[in-house]
Amino acid sequence: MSTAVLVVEDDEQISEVLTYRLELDDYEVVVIEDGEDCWEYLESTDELPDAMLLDIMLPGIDGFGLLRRFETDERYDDLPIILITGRGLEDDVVEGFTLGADDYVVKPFSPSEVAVRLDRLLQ
Amino acid sequence: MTTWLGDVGIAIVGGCLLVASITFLVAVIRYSIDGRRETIRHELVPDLFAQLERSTPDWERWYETHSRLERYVIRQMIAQYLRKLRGSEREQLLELATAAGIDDRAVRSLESWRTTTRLRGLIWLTLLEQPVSVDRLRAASVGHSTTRAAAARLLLVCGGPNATEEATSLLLWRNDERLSVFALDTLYRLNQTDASALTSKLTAEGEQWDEALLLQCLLVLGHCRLERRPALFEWLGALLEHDSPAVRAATLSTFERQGWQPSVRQYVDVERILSDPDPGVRLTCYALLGRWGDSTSIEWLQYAVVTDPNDRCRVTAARTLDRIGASLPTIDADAGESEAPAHFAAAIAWANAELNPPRRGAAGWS
Repeated sequence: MSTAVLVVEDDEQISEVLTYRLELDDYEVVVIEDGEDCWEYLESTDELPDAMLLDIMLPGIDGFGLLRRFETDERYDDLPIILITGRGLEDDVVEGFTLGADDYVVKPFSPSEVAVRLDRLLQ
Repeated sequence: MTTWLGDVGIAIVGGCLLVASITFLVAVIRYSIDGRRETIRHELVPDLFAQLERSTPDWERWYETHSRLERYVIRQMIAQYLRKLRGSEREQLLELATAAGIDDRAVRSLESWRTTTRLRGLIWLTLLEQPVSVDRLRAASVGHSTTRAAAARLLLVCGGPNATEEATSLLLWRNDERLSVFALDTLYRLNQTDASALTSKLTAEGEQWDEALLLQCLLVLGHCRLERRPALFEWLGALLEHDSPAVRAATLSTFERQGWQPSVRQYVDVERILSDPDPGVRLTCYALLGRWGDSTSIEWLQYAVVTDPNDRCRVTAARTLDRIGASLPTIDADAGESEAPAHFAAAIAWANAELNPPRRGAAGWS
């Protein structure tokens, strides 16, 4: 059974690249473009994805908003999350880790690097 | 006469119909082409990614196998993905760009008489991170603000000897033009860790600049890491006496971001600034005092709470005191009968009310 990864990213080109790269590594990829849609999707499913790539700047709820919601429900405690940030500011990184993210990448990024980080996280 | 007017009317209506028809036709054709390009793009994406995964793709051959429209779409995709990707994928895209002749075309574009063509060339060169000599850049860009900004960004991206100075000089080529947002961002990125280039231009030429440009540069300067050079701070200190209150306020903001050290503070005459006739200047001064936060600054802020003639300024001073954990001034109960204690009491009570608005509880206002 393949590993399911949820990509929450509103930039179509980035989600295309990530989807292609991760599917090469036999991941099953689901893409959602809106923070609020992501929350509804996760709340409506019994089975969470095995990992999540989460953009910070999203329509609806932003990445930090989603992380705060995850904090209130222990169901999300074991969900590995890699943040995708376009800013790379120290404050953003610190806040991301404080809210429970496991790793982060800064745009522009290398899709191969994201794949390697995801592999390590899931090990 | 009536016939003549009728003929003119018919000609006008006919002309409008012709223009409308042509516009509609062009719109339909463009819509069709855009739709076709989008379809091609979706077909090409997997193919392009498959090539990117190869260790040694034959880009020239791959590019040549595509139609003219497909190659146009490929070039668009290269531009889009170069902005978003790093690492080995980006390196592959650069090779594809070379195979597609994009780099050569971009360099040739710099010779064009058309500003838009030169701008497009500069954008491509920046995406490709391909350096060009300063002389050639200057020749291609000085005529227009957008090309100057694009050339400065190329210098920022490619670096090189004196790149910061040359790029800053290009951005500040005209002393009577505001910078665009892009140019302002470029100016900041060039100078953020070492603002020598910007400070040199400012101190040498700033007095001749338009006020709008000067304000923009002061804003950027305030966010840069500045060396503690007496010449710069003396020059900034002189701006505190500028005729324009906006410049005085912007200068205070620049000082504010440089910290509380005595080497900075000696250039700011707080007492004189607190009597500045412009409330905007005094507001900025209160922010500065809040940043410094020492006992003297707190005393000045407390003084401002009771004496500033402007409501907003008094509130700002009070909020600043609250934010830094200092108390509002208190009234001496033993003070004699005079208007002064009553005035102070009213101001402090008013400031306290502003800091502690009534909160609505579940049962109504508390």
